[in-house]
Amino acid sequence: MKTKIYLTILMAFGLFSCSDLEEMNINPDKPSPELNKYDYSRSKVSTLLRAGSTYNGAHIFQRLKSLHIDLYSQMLDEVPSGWTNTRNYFSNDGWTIDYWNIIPSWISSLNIVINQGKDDPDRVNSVAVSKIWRVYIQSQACDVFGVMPFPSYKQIVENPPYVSVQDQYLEFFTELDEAIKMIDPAKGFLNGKEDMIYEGDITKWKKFANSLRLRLALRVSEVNPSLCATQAQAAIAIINGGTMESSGDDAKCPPSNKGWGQDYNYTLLFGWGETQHMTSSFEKLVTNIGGIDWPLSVSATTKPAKIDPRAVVMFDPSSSGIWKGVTPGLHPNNVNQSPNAKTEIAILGEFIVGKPAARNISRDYDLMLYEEVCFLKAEAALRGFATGNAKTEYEAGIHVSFTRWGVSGAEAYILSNDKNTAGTSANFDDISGTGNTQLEKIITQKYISLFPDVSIEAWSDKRRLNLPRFDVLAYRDPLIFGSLPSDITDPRSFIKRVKIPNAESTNNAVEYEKGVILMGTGGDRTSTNLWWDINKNYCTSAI
Amino acid sequence: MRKKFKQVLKITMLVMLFAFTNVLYAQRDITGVVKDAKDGVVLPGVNVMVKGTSVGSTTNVDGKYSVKVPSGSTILVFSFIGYNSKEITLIDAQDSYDVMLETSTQEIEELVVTALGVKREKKALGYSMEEIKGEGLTETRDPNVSNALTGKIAGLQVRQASSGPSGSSRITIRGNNSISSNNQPLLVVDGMPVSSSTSGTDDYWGNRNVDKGSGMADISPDDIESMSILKGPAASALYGSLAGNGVIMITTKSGKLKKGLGISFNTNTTFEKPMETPDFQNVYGQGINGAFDVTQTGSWGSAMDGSNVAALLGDKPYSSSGNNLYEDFLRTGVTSTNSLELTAGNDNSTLRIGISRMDNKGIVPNSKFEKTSFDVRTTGKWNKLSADVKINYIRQITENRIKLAGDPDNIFLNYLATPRSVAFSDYDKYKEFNYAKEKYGSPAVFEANTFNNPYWSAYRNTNKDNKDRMLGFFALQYDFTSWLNLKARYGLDYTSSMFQDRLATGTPYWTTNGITGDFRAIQEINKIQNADFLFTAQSKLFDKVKGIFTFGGNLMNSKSTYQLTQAQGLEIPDYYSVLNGVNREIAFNRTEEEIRSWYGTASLSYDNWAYLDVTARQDRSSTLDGDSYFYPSIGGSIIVSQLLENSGIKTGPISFAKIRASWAEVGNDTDPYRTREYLNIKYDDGVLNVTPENFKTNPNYKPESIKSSEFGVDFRMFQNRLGIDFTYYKKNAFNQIIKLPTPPATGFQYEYVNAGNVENKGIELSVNAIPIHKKNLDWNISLNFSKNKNKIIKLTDGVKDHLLSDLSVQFLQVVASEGGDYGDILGYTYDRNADGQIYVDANGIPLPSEKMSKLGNYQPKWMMGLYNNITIYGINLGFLVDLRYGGKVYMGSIRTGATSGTLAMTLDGRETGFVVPNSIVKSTGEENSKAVSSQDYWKGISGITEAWMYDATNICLREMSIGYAIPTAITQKVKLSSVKVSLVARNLFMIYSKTKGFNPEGTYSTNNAQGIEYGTMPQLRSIGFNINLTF
Repeated sequence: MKTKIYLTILMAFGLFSCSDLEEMNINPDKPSPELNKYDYSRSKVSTLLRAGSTYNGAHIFQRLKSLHIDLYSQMLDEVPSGWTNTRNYFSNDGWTIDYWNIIPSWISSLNIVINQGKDDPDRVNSVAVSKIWRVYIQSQACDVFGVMPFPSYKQIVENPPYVSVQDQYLEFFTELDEAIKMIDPAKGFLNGKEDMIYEGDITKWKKFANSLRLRLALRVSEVNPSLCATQAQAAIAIINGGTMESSGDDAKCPPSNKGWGQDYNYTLLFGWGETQHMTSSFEKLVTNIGGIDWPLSVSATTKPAKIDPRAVVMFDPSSSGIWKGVTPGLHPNNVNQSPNAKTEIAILGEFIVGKPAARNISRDYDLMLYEEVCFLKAEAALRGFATGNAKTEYEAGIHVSFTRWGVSGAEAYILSNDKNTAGTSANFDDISGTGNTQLEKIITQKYISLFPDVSIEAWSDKRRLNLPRFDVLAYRDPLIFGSLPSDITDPRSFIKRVKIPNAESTNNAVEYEKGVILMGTGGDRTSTNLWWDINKNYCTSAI
Repeated sequence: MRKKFKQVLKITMLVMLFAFTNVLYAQRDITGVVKDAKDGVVLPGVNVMVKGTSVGSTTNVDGKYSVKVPSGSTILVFSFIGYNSKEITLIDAQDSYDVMLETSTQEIEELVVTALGVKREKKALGYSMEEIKGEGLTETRDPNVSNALTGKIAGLQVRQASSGPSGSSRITIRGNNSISSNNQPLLVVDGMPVSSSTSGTDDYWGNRNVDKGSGMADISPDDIESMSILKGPAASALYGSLAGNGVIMITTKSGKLKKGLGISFNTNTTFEKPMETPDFQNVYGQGINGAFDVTQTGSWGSAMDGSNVAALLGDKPYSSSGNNLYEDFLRTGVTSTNSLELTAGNDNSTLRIGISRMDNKGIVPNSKFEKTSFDVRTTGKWNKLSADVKINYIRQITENRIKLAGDPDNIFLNYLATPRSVAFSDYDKYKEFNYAKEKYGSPAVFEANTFNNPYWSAYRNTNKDNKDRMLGFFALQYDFTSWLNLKARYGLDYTSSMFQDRLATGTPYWTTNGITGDFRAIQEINKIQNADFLFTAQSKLFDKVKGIFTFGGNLMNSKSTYQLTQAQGLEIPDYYSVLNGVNREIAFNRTEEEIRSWYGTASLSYDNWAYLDVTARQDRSSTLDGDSYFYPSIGGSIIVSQLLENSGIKTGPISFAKIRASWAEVGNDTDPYRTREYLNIKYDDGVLNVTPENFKTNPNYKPESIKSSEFGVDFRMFQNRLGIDFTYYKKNAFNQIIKLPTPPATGFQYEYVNAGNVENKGIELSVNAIPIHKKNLDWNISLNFSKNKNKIIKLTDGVKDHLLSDLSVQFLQVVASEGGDYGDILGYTYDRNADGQIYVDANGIPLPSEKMSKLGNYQPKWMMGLYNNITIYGINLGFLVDLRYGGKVYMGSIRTGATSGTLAMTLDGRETGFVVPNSIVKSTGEENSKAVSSQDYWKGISGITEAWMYDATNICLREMSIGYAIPTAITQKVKLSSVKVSLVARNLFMIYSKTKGFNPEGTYSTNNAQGIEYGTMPQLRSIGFNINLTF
């Protein structure tokens, strides 16, 4: 009897069972990826389309775009962040690490979608877009860091090795080629809500893929002109679907406006008081070009007499009515100090960010616009990489851009021989004086048309061609740039890449060391050229 | 065998003889009362034995005894724990003897509470353990009882988060074992493991984090009978996979055998002020490059001359008037605690009711902290069955916990950057304008966005939390025979808390859809249930060999839910409802884990001088998918003094000597849901968003394993007036579950692996001395010293460094590196040449090194606590000094104050500049002669981590009390049995520290990355009084 009681007590404690402990260890609030009641690939692609378009929200957007790319493309300068040392080409791991960490996780997720869908005829478009998107995301990271480790979907390696920039580009072209051929408009794709870029229109994705291919083709124009030609021609070829044909084909992504940091992020930066301002380089490019008078509707105390009318929309006069650019790379002590105080420099326009009381939080993020394609085609035609009419494309690009910024006068503008500070005029046929080659015209106009969301392309053009003309920074990291030239026509005067965060050299030492070898003699420094950047200088500006 | 038989025969004969004599001779009844010699209080439960016989009795609630003394016996022995035994010789003419017992100077036959709540003789233990009595915690009380352990226990370190009285503390015993997991001990209350969570933030940037306090702080010191610190794994082995970091066991009070109702009342009131404040300059005001500039954060302007300048709110004199945070903004904190205790008891049942209430008015305006505890415990006995039931209900309300680290609302950080020409009245004026007079509607401040207006932080961006906790158990014990019993227990620890956090409309940074203001409510419910049983058998096995055997099992189940609702962007300004958010966030997470265990112990003793303990425990933890693991321990001790005595050898002045040794293996399991892969989902706007976890799962975890050995000696000399206890230990933690940063290219940021070997070895020394022990003068000294040496012997293959600190802090890393010590701090040094000369740039400013290197380690090399207690004619003076030697700390506060030009250290070279001594211009290799201004120098070296590293050595006068117990003769006239009045103080002053004005142990986090100070609240000096009345 007593034994029975004891046994009952023991049983009551449940000490004999065990399998339920394993069951208890299953999270009730997070699904397992193996759950086969649901096709996660749609959700994954959808999630990544927005994440990749917006740098995953304000956190990375500011750190990567505003505090690196915008400064390096000299499109914007953030004030009053005097401590923004990336402004002076210093490295700041704290601002790059999260982007560095998130890129491979995005690629891994896309790899899973590609692998899971490759044998399913119904998922062909999903796989194709995943491949395109993978190239889009990876090429941006590659142009920032250069040699980087990337997970492949073909060969699953636990710790993927570093891939040279050359190999990455070769893969980009194959992937895009495969994706373009794979796209089948007869098959289904994501619905309009899931595909926030093209609302499920797979034909537009095909044009985007070809346009992206053209963008990347021109990137290799200096280091491998024949590859550039082959890829540019394939991108333009009608048989492959061709590139974007109008602004209706623009790749844009609306912000989600759901939660903190998910708005159009320049508006958020303004909310923090970290206002964005015009640089002196930008000012020099837009002053006097096109011969159009400063618009009467905009009052400013200090302003150029003639101005590219788009620039007055892009930047508003400062609170004290001054329309002037800030000197790039100010020493920390001089940031927000006269004559570069925020009250004295032109500020990112309300056309983009809206008024303080009504910020333009739902503005789309531009990923790739039709005018960029026009200028890419113009360059390809001008330099003989593909057939076409450089002047027609060039002028089309200007027209589209004028429309986008809501200004008129493009007809007069493209006939004007008035030159900006660098010596560049808008008239394609006027090549008088220094700084006025047709390539300089194309890249100057492309630069303006990329403003502000696609500044990364502007920085890449600067590295590839040393165009357009930039001011050299007032103060640069003395450790790296102390011994480098300070000359607007010497490409080595400008930053070449972003350094890989330190954590990588401790957490992934073996692979990192191999990667550093792939970077070449410069090693993991901000002054080291990427593969496609061979210090070519096309800048003929005298001042 | 034969010998044994003889002895048995001898005993039998003796017993028979006894019985015979009993019959032959009449016995006499002796009665009397036993009292405490000091205060005359009657002592119930005193053993009264007739010497040389087994005849005896105990005193009742009134201290009265009655014993039948056989004729022929003439000596009575009175013994009671905590008192010296006393013998009295009976004389024929007297049948009544009142006895006064003296408190003993040092307790040898001390009973201590060991693992599973088993009471053992301390001398039998093969491991080191220390006990603190409850009365030591109530007088110089700290709102968080864990802080009261500071400096009192060798080998135990308490790091108090600098977030005020409601904040948490990080406790470690014998160093850090675990690289990625918790390093804090298990908390056991009345034998039941309970929640001892600590909170703080791991985030250097603050990000709206507050420190919600320690679970241990919920326990009212008034309810604590004693605290046992089980330091080594051998002591805690019975807690198996919970015991990796040692155990703090709290035994709460129960009713006492007492006549009538016992009433005791204690009141304690203290006043708090910062113990030390930074040394600010009051010469130069807001500006840059030596000129006033109203838009600047720093104090690099011109000398404040009192002239009118265009400041925040129009013109005001450029002066330092009204700029003192400590006088012009903070207030004196007041903490008052009132506790009432009612006790009753007779031979079969006891009852205790303890009620205590603590109110704290914080030093930061608009902050408060209050706690009410209600504790009822009753015991009862019916023949062989006894029961013990307890319910403790605790309610806590806290308003406006301070925001930590880099949060824009951290006023202590903000003050370090606030220009010296800014007065608090400037900020205060904004109240009139509802604070929002600034152009963009944000809180007016000298520089928007980086810092908030302190009044805005204190009165607008508020937070509040309520916590309800119930701790209780019921236990039944059945005594089958005199040597066998069964105890079964069920315990519950239920905590429910609601945290509400508001960001007022107009607060910058947190903008949603362009709309400011935010409100979030976080509800957390945590329920820990324990059910266990334990058979205990004790008997004499053979001659001189006694044994205690136990066998039991435990089931511990812990469930928690976390629920967040948040309004991001308040459409109706300053209206704090979740439904008012332009975006609404929700989160709901549930976790459950369970550990099921079997355990048993065998304790053998031989002839009162040799002891052996063996324990074994088997655990199955749900977090490890139910796999079973085994944790053994073995330990023993030899009482050398007893052995010598038994052999007839005199030990001279040595009254007690013991050597002990033990070995054990314990574990550490992991968090729930780590063995499978999951996706994070969120349905938004017609789309299901999915993102994978950022860590790679590991389905094959093993628990962490901590193997330890310990050796110790315990000496008492000169009638126990000098006691020395020395311990050497070594423990190695293997198979650590390490959250390893994995190369991001793997698609994950972390993975969890079982790897590593972390070694801690060290010594602990406790010395207790009574230099003077006279009727009206008593002097007690106790000193504890500990030294721990940590070494990371191995991490994993391929990874040599593991980052303990926040990834986003890039100028400083706290790491565990193979071959190094736990908590090495890496950072940028000055760039130096081979001769150690500092390289400067062309402007004469020191350059940082290109790579990080080791700058020190945050752990102290050794620690010491010294407690003195002197009693002169009833006046008692006690004080505690604690010391931590060695260790480094990164002083982020000093960096902020220096780069902002607010600290006095920035005064040199303001006008003329100075040349950095012994420096070389890097580009030319020539000696530097360029003078650098104070501004350019301090700003220039801000990125050189080495410049902000300080020696963390500090000596603090931690506690002091002066008390007087009014003699019983007087108190009894007013019907009080005792009255004690004391002046009490904590954190009196820093006797020595290199970080004058700042706390070198200040921390914003209770995680494993210590050694980073940043914007911490100063330590608070509290001075007050305590009155204790017993009716």
